[in-house]
Amino acid sequence: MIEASLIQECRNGNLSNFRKVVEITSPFVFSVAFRMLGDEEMAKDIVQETMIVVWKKLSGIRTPETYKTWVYRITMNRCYDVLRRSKVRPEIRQDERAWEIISNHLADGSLTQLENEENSMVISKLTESLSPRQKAVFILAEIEELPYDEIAEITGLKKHAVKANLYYARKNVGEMIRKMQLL
Amino acid sequence: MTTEKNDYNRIVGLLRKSKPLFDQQAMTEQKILEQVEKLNRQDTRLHGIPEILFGWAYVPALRRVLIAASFLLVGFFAIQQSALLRQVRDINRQVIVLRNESEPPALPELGSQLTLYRLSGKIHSNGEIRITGNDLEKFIEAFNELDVRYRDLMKIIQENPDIKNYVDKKLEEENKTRPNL
Repeated sequence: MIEASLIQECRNGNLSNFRKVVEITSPFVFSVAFRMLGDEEMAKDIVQETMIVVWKKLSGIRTPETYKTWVYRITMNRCYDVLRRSKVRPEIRQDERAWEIISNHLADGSLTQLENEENSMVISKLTESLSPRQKAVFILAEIEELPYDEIAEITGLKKHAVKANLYYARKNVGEMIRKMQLL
Repeated sequence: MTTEKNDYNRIVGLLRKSKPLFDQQAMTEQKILEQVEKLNRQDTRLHGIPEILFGWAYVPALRRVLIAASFLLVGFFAIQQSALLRQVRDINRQVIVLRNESEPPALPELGSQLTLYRLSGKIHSNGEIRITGNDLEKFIEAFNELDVRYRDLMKIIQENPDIKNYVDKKLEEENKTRPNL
């Protein structure tokens, strides 16, 4: 994803290399933040805050190989902060609209790209009954497809706690899908 | 159950495939870099004054010179201290303590003590007089010289009757004017 040598050069305070690091890192930070918060502007703010923290503390990371996990952890902590501070929950749009999007994509058999708004709407609807922690585990495991060990390191949970949270998240999301089918 | 699982998988697959579009990515990145540059400038400004004042301490050659100088100073201090201690010990050795019984027998007791008192400038309450050996030598030399001159003078007076008469007359006058205590 990102070269260890690039991280190493940035650790020595090279700003021109940091530009490359920002270019590579910011899309996945945005992706995680957007999926967590469901708001584009907030996700952009998270990207900025996260990258500033990365610049300030880059020299403190153990090895360049742990960079990605470290960035995920900063992003997740920022998202938790935002959720805690403002109690922001993305506005729940009409259930019918969220399900319409899903059923349309499922019906024609082609999984085409969702728009940002649709993406946020679907995730928000599916995860509305989840706690922030379950939502984080669900997004990291199911959508970002990270291994349990890495999720445990990012969220600060034990591996078995990650598995338990994911089990309940999957169960709740499954129930939500079933409920939406009945609408 | 299988349908539910399939639906779940298809929806998750759809979400997985639908990466959020990072609109105005370049602008956000520019903002980040501007903030980082601003942070760097603040950092440089904060460290500027101490850097100007003490930055020279980081020059390797200068550091080595300073280390060497500090060792030299410590060595010089130690040598100076030992020299001072040696001098203090020498001063103690130079002091000679004289008691009344150790005075030279040729000297009249009271006169000798007073003379020694004048020379030393101090006398102890228990009757001890302390002078240095050097002062004592000077004093004995002066006394001997004075004694020789006195004897010469007495010889000249005895040999010359006019001078003897003159001296006798003067001593008589002196005795008359001196109050009788």
